[in-house]
Amino acid sequence: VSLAAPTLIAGLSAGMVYALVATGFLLVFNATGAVNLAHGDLITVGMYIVVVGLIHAGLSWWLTVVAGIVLGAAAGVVVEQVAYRPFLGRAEGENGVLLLIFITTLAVSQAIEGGLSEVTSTQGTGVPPVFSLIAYHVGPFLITPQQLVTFAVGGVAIVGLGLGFRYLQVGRSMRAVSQHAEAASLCGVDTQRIVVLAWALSGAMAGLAGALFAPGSIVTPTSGTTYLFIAFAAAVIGGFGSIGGAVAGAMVLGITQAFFETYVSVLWSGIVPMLVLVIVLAVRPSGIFGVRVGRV
Amino acid sequence: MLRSRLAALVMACIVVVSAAWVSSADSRGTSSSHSVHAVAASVPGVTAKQVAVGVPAPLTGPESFIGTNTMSGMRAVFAKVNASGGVYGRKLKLVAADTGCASGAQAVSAARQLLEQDNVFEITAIQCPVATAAINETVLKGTNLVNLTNEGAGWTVPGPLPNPATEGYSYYFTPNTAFQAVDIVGWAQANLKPRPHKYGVLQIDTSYGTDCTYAVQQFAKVHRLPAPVVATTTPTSTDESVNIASLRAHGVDTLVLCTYQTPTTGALSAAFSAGWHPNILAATEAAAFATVVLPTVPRAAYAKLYGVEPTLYPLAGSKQLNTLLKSLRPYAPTINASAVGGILPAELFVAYLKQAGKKLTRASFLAGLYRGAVDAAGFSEPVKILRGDHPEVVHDQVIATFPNATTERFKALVGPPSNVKMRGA
Repeated sequence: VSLAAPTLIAGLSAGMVYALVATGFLLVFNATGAVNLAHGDLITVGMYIVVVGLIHAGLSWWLTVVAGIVLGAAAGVVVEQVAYRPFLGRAEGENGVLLLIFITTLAVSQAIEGGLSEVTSTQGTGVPPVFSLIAYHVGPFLITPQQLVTFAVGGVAIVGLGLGFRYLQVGRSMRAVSQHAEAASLCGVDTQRIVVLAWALSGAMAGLAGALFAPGSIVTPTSGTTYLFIAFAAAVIGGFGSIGGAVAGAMVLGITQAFFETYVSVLWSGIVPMLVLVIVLAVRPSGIFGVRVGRV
Repeated sequence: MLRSRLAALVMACIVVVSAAWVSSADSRGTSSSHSVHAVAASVPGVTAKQVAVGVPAPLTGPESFIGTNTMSGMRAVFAKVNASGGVYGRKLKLVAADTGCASGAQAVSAARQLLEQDNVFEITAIQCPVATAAINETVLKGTNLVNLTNEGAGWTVPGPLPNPATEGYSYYFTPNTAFQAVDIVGWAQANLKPRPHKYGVLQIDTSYGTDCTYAVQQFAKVHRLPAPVVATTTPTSTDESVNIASLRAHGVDTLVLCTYQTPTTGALSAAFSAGWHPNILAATEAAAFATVVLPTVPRAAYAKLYGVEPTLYPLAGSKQLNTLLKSLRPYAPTINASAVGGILPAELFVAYLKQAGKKLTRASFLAGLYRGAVDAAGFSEPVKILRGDHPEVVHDQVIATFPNATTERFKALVGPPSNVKMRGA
């Protein structure tokens, strides 16, 4: 029995998860230049929406996915209103403001984790699987229904986002703001509305990711934050700012990590993202795709 | 001369006997109970009419539901026992103190309050790892007080210990992971046909998993079996397809799961998906979680699953637990399955009190404790090996019960891992 096939599937599956997280994370960065350290916690919120909906309210999982997207978007806007907007212009220079927002989103992250720890078990809540755990045979590969759903839903979300950026007016406005906010504003783009929309979309992506990851897992108040660093690494590897690059970076990380776990050690696999990050930055400092995006 | 000395001696005897008679006459009418009281009075928390039991439990904070459930279960059991006259005429009094389950300092303070101010006889059912560790190390170590707890991971051997007065501050109701693994592997060697030859272990990367693996490795060495193939995963992993493919590629015929919930279901479904059907021996937590009804894993995936059921937590809805709850409803009408974490420690504590005998002292309690396991409410210490072709019926299919015989033989043959100290061995 070859281990390469199941390892590749495990790597692609993990890569898709990282890609979803990285994409949501980059939406805010591209629109505002801010690093939202609470993004992982918005994923956790999405997971707990599944816990409440599926276990306590008896809703179907698909309904909890919709709830995760809607409430995730709302949570994104709340973070924007609490940790971003009030601090614009409150520090010297653009870098000062971004550092301030770095800290305020960290505070929001801690607040969400603390709040969840108060009302839930810190040892975690087990969420039952919602699909059969028995895998389909596709050639030499075995793919579980949950992996298929993650690929399909995640793929549709990421591709849809890409197409929206390219073909929708609001998408083009978002790209304009990310490239030069002042110029976009002079061209009639409501930059404030676009920024709020970016936070909402980012929250929606986080809520969707949480809803996709929750079934069959143990959800804790810090579940989502474990993805944040990997998503950050994926974004940097891809060339910080590029959605396509982040997806590629996420896949590189997922597959490398899976093969490392199979052929080296599962105990040390946590160092893989850092290792890949260092190697990529040493060889190609601008990342694989090397897209440099401007900001507000 | 001799006669006068003899007379003096007789007079002295008469004086002594008279004094004794006068003294006893003062307390006549309560002579029998008083004599018991005189013995018991020197034992903290114990009188002729009462035994005070302390529970350091998380009563506030995010884990407070554990404390609340524990207390409600213990209260119900104690009420039932008290309604039937108590244990040897002594009513059971429950005293709680809040550990918070977040800081060792608060747990230590709670235990000290129970032992030094509330003057309880014993503490039990701590139910929180942080509190257990802190109380063991800070309050109980070096004393002859015993931590009667539910948590049994690691190499701490459940009694008998050679000298409880100096060493025994921790006594677990359940045998530890390693010995349970040995029990089920021993059972498999004796009962499965064809006899297992090549073991594989799926372990999580914590002491829970590595203790279990160590035991299987040592068992294989003692029985001259090929060295087990070990695959490592994380406690929250859900995808075990690669590990299962690896174990299969190594020619494993019997898989031991030393894992928690998600890797267990991941391994069961991955093996079934791949069309691989080895014997699957589920140790401790793996067995407990594998028995959770999972409609997402088909019945056939459980066909060759054998699990150790050592825990004090039978399934909600199981016949065993329903019978127990029904017997407690007259004393606690709203009691439900969530109180099981308090019901079973309380049942066991009562059983150990009975085992200590009528004349309850610290020594008699320890002697009873280390004499061996008790059977309370149908939950006895010996490990049960269970089999089920579908999870919800596992509890009804006890196919073997071991008085830890394999464990005892094993303990005589091998030592603990070099980096840990095995108390009492």
